[in-house]
Amino acid sequence: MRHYFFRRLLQIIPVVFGITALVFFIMRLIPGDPALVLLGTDATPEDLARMRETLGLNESLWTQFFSYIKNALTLDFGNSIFQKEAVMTILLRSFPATLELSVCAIIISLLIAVPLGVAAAVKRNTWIDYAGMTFAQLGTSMPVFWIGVLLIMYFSVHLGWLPSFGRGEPLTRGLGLLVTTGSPQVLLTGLKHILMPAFSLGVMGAALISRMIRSSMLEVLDSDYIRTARAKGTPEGKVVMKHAFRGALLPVVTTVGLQFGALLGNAIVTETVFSWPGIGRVVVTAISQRDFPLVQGGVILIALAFALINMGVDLLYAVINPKIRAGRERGAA
Amino acid sequence: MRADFVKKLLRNKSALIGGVLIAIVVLSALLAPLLAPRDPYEMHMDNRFAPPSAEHLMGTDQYGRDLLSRVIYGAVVSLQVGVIAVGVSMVLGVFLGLISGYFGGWADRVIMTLVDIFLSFPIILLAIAFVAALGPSPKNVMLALGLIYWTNYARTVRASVLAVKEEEYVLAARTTGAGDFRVIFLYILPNVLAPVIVMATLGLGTAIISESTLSFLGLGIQPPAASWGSTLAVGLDYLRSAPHISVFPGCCIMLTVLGFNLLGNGIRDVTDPKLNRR
Amino acid sequence: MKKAWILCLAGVLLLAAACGTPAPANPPASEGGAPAQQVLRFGLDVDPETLDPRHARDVSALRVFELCGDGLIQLNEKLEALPSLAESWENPDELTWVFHLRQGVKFHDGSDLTAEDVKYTYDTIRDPAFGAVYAANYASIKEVVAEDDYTVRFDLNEPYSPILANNMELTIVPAEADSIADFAAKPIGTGPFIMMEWAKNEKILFEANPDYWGGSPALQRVEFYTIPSNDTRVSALEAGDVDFVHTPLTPQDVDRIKGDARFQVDELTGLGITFAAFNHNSPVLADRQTRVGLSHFLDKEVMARELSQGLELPGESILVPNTWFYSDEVKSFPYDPEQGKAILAEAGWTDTDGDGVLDKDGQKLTVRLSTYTQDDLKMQYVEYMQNLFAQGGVDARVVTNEWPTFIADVQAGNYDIAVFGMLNLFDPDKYMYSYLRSTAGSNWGGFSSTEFDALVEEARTVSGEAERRDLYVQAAAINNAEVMHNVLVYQGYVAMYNNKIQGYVPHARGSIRSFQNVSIAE
Repeated sequence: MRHYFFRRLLQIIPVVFGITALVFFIMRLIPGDPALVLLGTDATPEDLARMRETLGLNESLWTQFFSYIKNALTLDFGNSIFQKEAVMTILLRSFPATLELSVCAIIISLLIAVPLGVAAAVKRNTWIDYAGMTFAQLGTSMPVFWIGVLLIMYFSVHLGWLPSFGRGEPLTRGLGLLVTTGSPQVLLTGLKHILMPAFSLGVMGAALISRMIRSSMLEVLDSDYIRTARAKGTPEGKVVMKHAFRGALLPVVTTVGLQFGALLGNAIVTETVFSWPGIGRVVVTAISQRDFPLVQGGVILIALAFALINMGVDLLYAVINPKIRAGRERGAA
Repeated sequence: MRADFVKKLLRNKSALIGGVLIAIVVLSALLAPLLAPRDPYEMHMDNRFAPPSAEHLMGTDQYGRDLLSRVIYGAVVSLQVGVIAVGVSMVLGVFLGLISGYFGGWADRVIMTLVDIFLSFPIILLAIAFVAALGPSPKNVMLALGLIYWTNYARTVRASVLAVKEEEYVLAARTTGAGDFRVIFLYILPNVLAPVIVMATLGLGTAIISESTLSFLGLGIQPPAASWGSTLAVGLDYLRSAPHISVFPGCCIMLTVLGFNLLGNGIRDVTDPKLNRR
Repeated sequence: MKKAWILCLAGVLLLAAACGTPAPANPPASEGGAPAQQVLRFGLDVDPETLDPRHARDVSALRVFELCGDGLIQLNEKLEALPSLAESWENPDELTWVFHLRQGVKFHDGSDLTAEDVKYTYDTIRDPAFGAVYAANYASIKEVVAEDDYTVRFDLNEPYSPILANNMELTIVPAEADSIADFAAKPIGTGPFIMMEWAKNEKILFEANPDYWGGSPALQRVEFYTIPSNDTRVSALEAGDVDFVHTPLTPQDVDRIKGDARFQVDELTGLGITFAAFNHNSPVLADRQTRVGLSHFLDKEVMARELSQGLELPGESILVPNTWFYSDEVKSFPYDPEQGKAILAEAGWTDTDGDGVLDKDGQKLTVRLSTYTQDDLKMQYVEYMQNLFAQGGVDARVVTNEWPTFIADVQAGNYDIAVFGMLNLFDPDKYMYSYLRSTAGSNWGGFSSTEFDALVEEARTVSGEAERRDLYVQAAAINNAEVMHNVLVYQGYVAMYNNKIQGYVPHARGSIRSFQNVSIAE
């Protein structure tokens, strides 16, 4: 097991290096440079040249790249060109908000997907199955930003139930206060703020996960071992919940892991719609300003998080099912 | 086998509903010049934001253009973006997947590392960066989306190749002296296509959604041409005063993507041997 | 397994409970339970980049400094210079300005404001080692001298009459600013409000400064919330989550809020213009007559009335209305497509092959219309212009890009007609001198008129407003005749806020300085 763990960890290294190279060169391929954006339209060519020199942009690409790598190895990702602050500081400040949003979105995905998937499998080929699966598909069939805007329109403006923007309070702080002082007020504020963004993000994942649950449950329900259980007169409810659902969990774990990575990427749009102070918005703004260090740092951090989550999923998988330890296929749908 | 497949597909309700939805969309795109009641580019600044009426079935947009005509022409653009993006990613992914699975070794390692790199890159960011680098135009949006989504094909194909590589008929072909590429394209490729078709069908939906997201972020196609995505994104500005401008293209996207998803899942149900045993 | 279900159920209930509780009118600030009436929540479109006044370059940072800082002077709604930290000033000769500081003014950390702080502020912003973005704007200043604790003298390199408007509003920082940790995140000023907290991309919180030299403000707190989407920001106003939003806004939203009795909407002509920059180096547009012909296709009336729904006004010249330099004598070419076609025909552009597109010597009249994607209204203007040009037989193509790409293209001369704008035109000098003069650094369109150059150069050395205005009026007329920058519209400024807000005075450039006199009614 330890051997497997280290091998997976080693595999991350070339991936992160590749990401760094990719983002570094793509950013420099994009027309427009930070000096131009920073100085605005008044700048004279001399001002621009001076600023490019200050920012180190007049060096050759390779020199810039290698000095970036050298610094990155010591965890120095430079300073944001526009915010005059260390990239690390900016990213570490905004990452928890994105993580919180993604976790809540996954929870919502599961809340939708589990009942739908189980019901569809048990009532296979009935209208419940068709309606449930079609409903689940609707979530992936609408652009996230559209769902988001419609939600705000209805629940914030029309009904006035939920706040229309922002994070309110971090959930962790709310939980802490609930435990230490017993006051749920802050936690509720946080929950109210996160509900709509997490939902609009979570419905996407629900389609995939519910299908996964349905098909893996069908497979298990059809197996000899379930037939035996039934033959022994085990009540149907117990058969479904205890035996079939548990047997179907394994592929679901994988799907959830993969989905989590996709969420980190999709959070960018949700964060824009709901004014969520997360890392996605930081990076999108940075791209539109050509804030090279900030884009690079942000992408590396997101990619690293994604790689680590996938590694975690793999490890979990290997723990649950030692037979497939060697394989790297994750059997994703 | 083929007739059997079609029969099964027709019996699968999900595939049937999806197929019908897609057929409608494809037909209206093909017949756009015949179906569109008006010139989609003709502006009438004195008739902006007109609600749906007998004259304009879907109303008019912010320039007084007939929305129905724009939505019909938008189908052409949206489908084009979807098909070409999926085409690019499929060709690229299948090719690399075949190489990676068949030859193994360092080629496999390089390609799979590349896959991991692209997979861990936040997809929308990659698309934003590609489109920003290439400039927003339908062609570049397609290319960018194609360059992003190839990884899934590569992984799936590689896994299938590993499974069939050791089958008797492949081994037999190799012992008769067939070259590697002959074996790959004649014996292996046809046997790994089923999951690719499923993926491509689902991918068409994803590509249409992604295009609309790029439009929302200001990186879609250039006006006055319009895709559903760009019409929807622009129409959101008028959501309160003239909801029809965003609702109609939004529903078109929803139904079309739903159609692709249902069709794709239907094909999967039919082709998946695991579910076919019974 | 049962446990898992119970957990799921509990989760659902928790969420249901969360959305079932009606949102309090004041959700983000409702902690503590103290009477929260004197609180103003402001919806900001972008988060500031940095809050060091010397580094700041975005409008959001400007809004922050209007609350927590002061400059030597401040410009009122009519762009007249009023005393602020300087009680009075004089201009003994054209190379010297002397400012007399108000006494007894304290920074938020309790230290006194003296001439040394003013000198320090201006010395650092001009110091190349400090790396301020706008250092070049202060190039006319040779030296800043603190004559005594309350007297500052500015010695100039050259006569520079726009100095008050362009340089003297800079927020003064304490002389020890650069030794204060995190100064750029929590600036210390002399203003009516004290900045308390900046949660980046989220909110900025201020509290009243009871010791403000201009009197303690009535508001106890001001809270800025960053809401990037125009729709969401207005939705937040309607939902009661913020009390005040202003430009940039979507015209349709403004229309709707005007019909809502809960809100007050103030519309002003702003200090910005949106123009079409014609590239005189582009082969097709090098010919003046072609530019004039194309200008007749621009229906500015419809752009302003319909596309902006009256938020903006049809543009005539680079002289903005409601300023001391405005003149209605300078007119732009009228919308007259027939006339336009006739002029183009004179210039040699006719449809010889009957394909509906004008051509000359076998060359189609192809024009690229560029703008940037971050501005919805400019995108609409360009899409409409494309249609107008196409109707006139011009093969017009829209090219839109993100701002950095767009501006890089414009700087490289890779455009035909570029639509963008200019904000905060306190003084015509900055714009005419640095964009339209033939040797100006930001003249990307190859404009060259020696007559124009002479006028704007002379205007720098003349000091009376009336005399300067005369020169600018002549220069503006040349700009129109030569079709350098064809001004499409005068930008509007809109503020929309809760009726309970009293005492706010709208300001054409969006200043919220009057918040120091604002109170919230019951």
